Amino acid sequence: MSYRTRKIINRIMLTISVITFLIGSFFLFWILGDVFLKGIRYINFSLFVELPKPPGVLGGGVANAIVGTLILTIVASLIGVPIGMMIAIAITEYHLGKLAWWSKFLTEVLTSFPTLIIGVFVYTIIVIPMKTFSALAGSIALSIIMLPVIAKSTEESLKMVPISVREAAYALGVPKWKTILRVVIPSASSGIVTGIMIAVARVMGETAPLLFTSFNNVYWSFSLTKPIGSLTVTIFNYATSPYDDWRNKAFASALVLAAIILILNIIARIYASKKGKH
Amino acid sequence: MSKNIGDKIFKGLAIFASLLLILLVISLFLSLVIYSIPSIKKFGFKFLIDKIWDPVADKYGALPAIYGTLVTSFLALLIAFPISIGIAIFISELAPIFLKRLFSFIIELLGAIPSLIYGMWGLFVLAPLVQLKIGPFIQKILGFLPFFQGYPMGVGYLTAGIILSIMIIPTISSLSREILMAVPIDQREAGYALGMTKWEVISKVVLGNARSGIFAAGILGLGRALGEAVAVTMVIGNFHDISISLFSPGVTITSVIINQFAEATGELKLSALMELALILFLTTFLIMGFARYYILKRIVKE
Amino acid sequence: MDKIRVENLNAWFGFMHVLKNINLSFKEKYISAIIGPSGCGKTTLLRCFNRLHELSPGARVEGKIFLDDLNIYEKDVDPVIVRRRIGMVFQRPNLFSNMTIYDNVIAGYILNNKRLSKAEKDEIVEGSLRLAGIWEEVKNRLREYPSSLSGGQQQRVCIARALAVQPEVLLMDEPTSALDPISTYRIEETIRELKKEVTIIIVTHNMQQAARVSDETVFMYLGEVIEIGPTAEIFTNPKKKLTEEYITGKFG
Repeated sequence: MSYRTRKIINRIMLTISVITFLIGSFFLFWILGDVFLKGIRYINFSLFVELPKPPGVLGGGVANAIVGTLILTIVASLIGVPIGMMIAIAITEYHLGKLAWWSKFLTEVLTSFPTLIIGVFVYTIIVIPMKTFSALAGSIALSIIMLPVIAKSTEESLKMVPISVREAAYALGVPKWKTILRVVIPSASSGIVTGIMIAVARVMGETAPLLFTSFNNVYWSFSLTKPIGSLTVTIFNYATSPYDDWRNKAFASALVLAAIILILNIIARIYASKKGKH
Repeated sequence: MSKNIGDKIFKGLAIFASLLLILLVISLFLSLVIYSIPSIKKFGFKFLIDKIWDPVADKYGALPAIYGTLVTSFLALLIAFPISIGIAIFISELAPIFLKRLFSFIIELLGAIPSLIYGMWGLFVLAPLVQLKIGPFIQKILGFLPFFQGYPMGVGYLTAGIILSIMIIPTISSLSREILMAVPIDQREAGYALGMTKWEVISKVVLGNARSGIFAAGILGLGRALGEAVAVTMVIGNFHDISISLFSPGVTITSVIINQFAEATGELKLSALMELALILFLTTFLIMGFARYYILKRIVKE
Repeated sequence: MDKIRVENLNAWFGFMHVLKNINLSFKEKYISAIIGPSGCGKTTLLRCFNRLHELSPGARVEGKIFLDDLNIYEKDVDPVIVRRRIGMVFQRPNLFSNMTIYDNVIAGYILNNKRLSKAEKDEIVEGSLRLAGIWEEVKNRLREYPSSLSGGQQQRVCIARALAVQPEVLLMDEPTSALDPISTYRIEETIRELKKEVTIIIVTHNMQQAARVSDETVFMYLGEVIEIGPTAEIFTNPKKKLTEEYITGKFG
């Protein structure tokens, strides 16, 4: 092959590589732009403060679903964050051999596991025994989805803390558990907080695991033992409905959801880049 | 003074959390198995090769769902894999250093979009496009192939495959990027020193070094596509049959579960759905386990 | 009087036998230096004195070390309590980056939930920083984070942090190896001052440093103690051939 053809091939292939990136970013802007343009027209005050109206009746909002998503996410975080962090602590701070290997392996596998199956599982262990869909079941499903994300990001952040910092605390006569809680975790806090924000953003957008756990509720509900509405399930029902008014509300709500998730991701990224500021 | 009781409690909690994780996966598996038993007993192996899904006659077969899942996922991989590798190469080899993080972030954001929003875009933007533009266009050029027969309805295997491909691009490309960036600089320099062009260095030296890792990244992307639920459900068409034409509507394992689970009143129907979930669990667990184990082992070696 | 006495001490890293049957003692309010080539086990020995060695994966210790009359390897002795009596300064400054300079100095109290009044805290911080010879430099910057200090200043705050809990013994693991000559000189000055307060055991790579600061010197080689004696004697008139070869620079 002559040098000229080699150079031409070089040009072509590198151009293709640039194009693939443009394709990827094009879809990002197309999808987000579509939600934005279709949603922004139907965003209004009542969306945030009113309950849904039956089909055919115009107006109403998704206020209960917004609150429902907040409740589900908060309860899920209360369960998922501490357990996920403890798994990471077990992996990095204690030499547990096989157990550590298995929990690391399972976190890796669960990180991209179908969330639908987790919903089905929670249905069998919570919904069937309780004989009702419930906010609790939804929260537990979301907390299981959070677990591996939290565990992985915490593990990576804890590993960044030098051993010498732990030893400095030990040498002062600080017990290991206090060293972990008061020295290691604070030193790793920016990475851990970033991970939590990404995990929260991820579960806020989950639909499949909620369909058979928290189900749906078109009224206000603040009880953990009753079905609860959520933004995602509401959007799913509205978007697949034949009513124009509902579809429009689906886009408006999707815009709200996408905005929250994007903002969380961007804040998380900015926060992470401030790592090791002190 | 006795030895620190706090240390023992804290270590106990850490071990407990790890055991809880393991217990979770085991009970996940067991509960799917237990609920699948009626269906396994009734249909046996035939469940996997039967096309009929008839709640009225209480007869269930998983073949269309398995077929749909495989077709859409492999189609997604076919589209997403080359694009993802291209993106990985662009970010790791071509992009200026100060823009690398921004570019990676853009692609990662694609992965942060909820699958529900992909589904809406698929239903309201992509499906009409496939029906009116992409479908007829493909038919004009490749209409003689059995894969492109019949009238494009918009929803169907092709639309689901395209949506899935966009959704797994971030998974494959960010992993591949990490793997490419881990190839040592001196390997590249050795290539340049031999008079190779940039593309030759990338294709022969860098990709050669990263081959197995990129393969694992592809497998992981496939695993994600297999388990994707809401977006696929919205665009697959929900038609219980098998068709070789990609324009046809169909079902996937996840779409069947989503559409039928809430109204699964009979024990046998619920059990059949559980068996579908079990099949998905086993497939994705094996695939993810394989890919993750593969990657984990590589990292440990380094 | 002996402050620390080591009896038949052996230590391992996995299958590597890194300390072989060590027997020696260190006198109270003395500065003792441990010297020897890299990998001779001097740092491991130092880390046995506050039971830090056993925290590394695969590490193991056998034998006895007496702090006054207490065998710190006795079964019911809590290593945490031992470490409150024996302070340590490490090779590289390792201040807690998420705490201010002020909080770093009293970290031993904060992290152990010991309540102190504001006046007590101020007194401890000032006293410890004075002892470490860095009060004048940081007295107006106590609320800043340690990253604003130079490496030498950080290391002296580390010394202050170790001194703040009033340890009986201070272990120093090559405390100046990461520092420039001027910082090294000032820390050596501090060490000589500290002799009035505390028993010091310092591991060093640098023989001149051992000669400059210590009263007694231990020479180790391949996990064994070859010679121990008054510093002046070790450096001018060593008894063992190996010691002589090392201090004259034939190896190491």
